[in-house]
Amino acid sequence: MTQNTNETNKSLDYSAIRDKERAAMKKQQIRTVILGIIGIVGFLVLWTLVVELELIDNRLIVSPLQVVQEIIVKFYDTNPDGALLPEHIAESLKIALSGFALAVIVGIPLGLLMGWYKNFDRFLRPLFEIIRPIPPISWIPIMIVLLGIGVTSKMVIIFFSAFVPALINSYTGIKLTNQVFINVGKTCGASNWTIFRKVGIPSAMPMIFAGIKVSLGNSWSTLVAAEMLAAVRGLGYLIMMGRTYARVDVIMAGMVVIGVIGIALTGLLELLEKKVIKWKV
Amino acid sequence: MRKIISLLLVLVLALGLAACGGTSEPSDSAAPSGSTAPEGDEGGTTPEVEMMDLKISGHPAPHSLPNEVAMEKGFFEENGLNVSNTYYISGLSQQEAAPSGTWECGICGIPPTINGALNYGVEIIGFSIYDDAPQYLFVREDSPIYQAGAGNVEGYPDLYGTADTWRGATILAPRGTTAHVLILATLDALGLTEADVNIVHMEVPAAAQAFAAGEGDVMAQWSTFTYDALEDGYMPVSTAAAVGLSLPSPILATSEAIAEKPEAVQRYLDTVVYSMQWINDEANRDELNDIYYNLCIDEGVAISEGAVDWSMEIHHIPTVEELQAMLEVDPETGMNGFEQQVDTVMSFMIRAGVYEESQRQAVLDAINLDFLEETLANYTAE
Repeated sequence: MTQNTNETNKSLDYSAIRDKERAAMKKQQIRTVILGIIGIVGFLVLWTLVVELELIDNRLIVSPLQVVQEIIVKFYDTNPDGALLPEHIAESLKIALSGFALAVIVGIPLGLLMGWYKNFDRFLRPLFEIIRPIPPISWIPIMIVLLGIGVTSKMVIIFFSAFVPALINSYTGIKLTNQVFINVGKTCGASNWTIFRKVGIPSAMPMIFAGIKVSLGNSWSTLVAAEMLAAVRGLGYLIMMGRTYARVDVIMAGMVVIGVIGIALTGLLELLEKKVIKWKV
Repeated sequence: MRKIISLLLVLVLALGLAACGGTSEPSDSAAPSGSTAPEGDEGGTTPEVEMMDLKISGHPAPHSLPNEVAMEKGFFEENGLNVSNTYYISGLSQQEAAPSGTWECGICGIPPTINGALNYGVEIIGFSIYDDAPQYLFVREDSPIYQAGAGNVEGYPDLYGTADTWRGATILAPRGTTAHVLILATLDALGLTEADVNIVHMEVPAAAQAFAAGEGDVMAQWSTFTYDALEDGYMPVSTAAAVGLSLPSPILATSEAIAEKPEAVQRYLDTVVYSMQWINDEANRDELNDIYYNLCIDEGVAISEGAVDWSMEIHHIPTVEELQAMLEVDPETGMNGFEQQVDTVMSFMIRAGVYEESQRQAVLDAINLDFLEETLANYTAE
């Protein structure tokens, strides 16, 4: 009886601690959000002040309000670049996401296999090390000749920028697999392939997701370079046209839209990460 | 014996230097009558001229040759200028560099100049070598545009194709450049607009590469790339001449330079106009070709001697008389020749939605011909 009472008290203690922890976590989350909002608002106020007080030449920078106005205008006015903002966004999403997807599909399995199988690593690593430092933009002339000026060539340029972090992170992730888990698998008679699938890959998941996030960022940052190849629309193209016609509002509108899409996609990725590696997050 | 050899060597060296010095001076025939050619003994610096520093700019292209010739031949020094020159890869980056004071005077194509006049405090003080002669639109021989033949549009006997054959064409060209203006003028002649074709924004060398790989229906080329395209057998279907398009290359000065060192700006313009007359002189053709060839090689522009010959042959270099005539105001339009030509290009850009009508006057206001009037007055006086 006494023992039962003790157990009940213990479980009550645990649930109280858990509740406390949850409350603390929630508090921290709220603080994070509030601080984030303060950071953004503070930046916008500072930006507005710089423009209003003309601390920087107004020909070189416009206020946040003017950027928002230009974003709205680009929903119904094709000038000066010849397309509407939704068309630019759709084109860029198509290019950036297809290049990113290709990088993830190729980079992650390759990184995992290179990290797990030594001969595979010895075979592919020299080639990868040669490709790795080549700037994605330098592929442009070759891509024009090989793949033309359509979506495929731009997708491949984005692939080169997103592929490297996807591969490196999966490679490092699986290399860091705890040897104890591998030994347990071996002791239980599991094959190398089974240990690779059941121990190595799950253990590498947090690093893989970190790599995916970097790849996604790289995909968007290479967009302008990819659209330099040839374009009729796209956010990178919009920024280039803004530069060509010295329309700072157009340039900044393109930049802000890329930033917002980047945040949205990273958010989606984090949600996916929480679902896939619940045990870790 | 050693002394005799040393004396002989000194003598040979002195003779050699004298000979070199003789050839580097502008020939008498090069100095146009009434020019403001640098004064002094054999064109040397007059002792009383105080040297002034000036940062100049341009591109490794024919329109910037007056700068290069003046540097190579020492015309700037003779006119009392110590210049430091920067060649930009494009007119766009040149204009963007203006507010930072990286350059004070220069030469550039007309579309980026409009941009600079509107946004970066750049003023037009004259016109250099025209950009229109090597502006071509090319197709492949089997293109319906070429197959339709020339002269289908009234008033444009050298323009190939019809509105129907051009409609829907994919054109590889850099937007916001002289090539873009040529496309707009061609479409205008055909009764079409930009919405009727598909302009793929590409730099000229990349467009040539893509076109060779089978991409696009039409490609725009300029400068010596046009010569290469002709050599490759592509068919020109529209040129600036075919659509009556004039593309002057403005001589520029920043508002800051005009306000702070007008004397240096004046000397710069005097020298550039003199340099243009030197370029115009057939007697200097071989030397000019060498200067242009070396400029391209030094700046990493792939070029053949054939392309240099062709390029120097076709470009229009305004003479002093032409510049003087352009100062006359047309009573019908109320504009002088400089304003009219800038206004024509601006009209195409406005119709294409690149600029707004309200910006037209600001561009025309950036034309400052006070310096040119003074330069040309010297020619008239003499």
